[in-house]
Amino acid sequence: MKIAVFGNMDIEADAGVEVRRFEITSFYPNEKIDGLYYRIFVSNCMPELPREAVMDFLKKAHDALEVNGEIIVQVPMAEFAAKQLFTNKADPITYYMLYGTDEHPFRACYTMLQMRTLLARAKFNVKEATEAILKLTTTDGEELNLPVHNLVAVRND
Amino acid sequence: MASELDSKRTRPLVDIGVACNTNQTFQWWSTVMLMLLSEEKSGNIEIGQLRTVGSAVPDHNKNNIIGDSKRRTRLTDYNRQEVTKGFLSGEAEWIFWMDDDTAPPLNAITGLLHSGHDFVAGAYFMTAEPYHPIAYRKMPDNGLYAPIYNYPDGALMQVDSVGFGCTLVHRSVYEKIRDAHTVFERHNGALLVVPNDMVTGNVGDDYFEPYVKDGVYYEHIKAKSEDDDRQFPFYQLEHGRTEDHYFCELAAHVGVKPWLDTTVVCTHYKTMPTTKDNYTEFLLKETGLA
Repeated sequence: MKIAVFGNMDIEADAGVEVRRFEITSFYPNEKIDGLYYRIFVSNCMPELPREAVMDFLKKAHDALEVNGEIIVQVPMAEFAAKQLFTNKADPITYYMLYGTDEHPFRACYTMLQMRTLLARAKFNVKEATEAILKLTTTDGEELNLPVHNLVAVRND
Repeated sequence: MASELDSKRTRPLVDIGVACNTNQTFQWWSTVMLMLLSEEKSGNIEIGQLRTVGSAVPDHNKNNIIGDSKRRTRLTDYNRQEVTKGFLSGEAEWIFWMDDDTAPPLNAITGLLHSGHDFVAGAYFMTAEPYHPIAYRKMPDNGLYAPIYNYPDGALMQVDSVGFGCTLVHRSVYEKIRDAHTVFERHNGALLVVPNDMVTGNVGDDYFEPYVKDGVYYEHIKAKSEDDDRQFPFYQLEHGRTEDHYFCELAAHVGVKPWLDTTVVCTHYKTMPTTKDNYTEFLLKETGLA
């Protein structure tokens, strides 16, 4: 069994499970060579894609999954960031959620509803869409709590 | 009940259970009919039986069964049990519950089915401030329910209790509940459902009046007699609570918690319709954004 991981996340795989890491901007799955994945994690990197590339990525991810395989997507909460801005409470985390970093600039920001709509358009069935906190560690070792949307969707053709 | 048709069926078979009052608004009728038409056109499900009972005014006056061609003056819990009895003796895998004041959107049933959960509800909103969806989380410190509030649009989340105004339940949830519980008769004749794993020892015949000792309530119960033809009480109005909390707690005992899909949004008709706009407007006001 294989898992594909996009984004800089820690993952502990069970014995016999192969973990492959990819850059979201360069994902070229080939079923004949790579086989299919039973789970794909996309953690805090979807915003790095230009808007016009998002559906293409999700379609590739859909086709790279086994039937009944799952995609787990975590994106910074656009609603939270917007609320912080509108109520004059924006802090460095808010700006990170909207713009990313110099190394990984964000090109889009997603609400929960937008993310669900995109997954549905890519023919996934969304089975969970909740709020979560992603623990980030900066290069200085500082721990940050990032509010994210956490979506779990299934390929069941 | 399995049938020969089951093997040929390619679409999920869904019964529809509606709790009705005497009158429904014309908007409710048109919205519900459009919803049923949309399901028929989409072809994702097969609608089985329409199981209607009366009535839906919360909650002590959901009284008159109309769908079974007879009128009764019973409470919501009894009527829901009657619908459930019919559903469980039929062929459908799913039952979609509505009230006669909740109008689900187009393709509501398909939307809920696609979530992949056995017990999942759409959102309909309280008809008074703060207009929260009728879905709740149980507070761990006191066991009381707090409404779901201030969630992101599009959330699909596990909760502890939901209303039955737009709720899809798989047959297996009822079967698991029935198999995992024992029904007793309380000292006042009411039925008491207890998870099997919480029952030890024997049930004695020595009746005593209920009493409280050291903060614990004691009451004599007896086994439900074999000639007692009351249905398994999947729904009970008790302690001033609605019957849906009761069902959700039974389901939780067998490891099934309801999900709330906030993309399936109903209109809740009272004298004036309550919509998601009421909820959003109140929320924006409260958070200082309007």
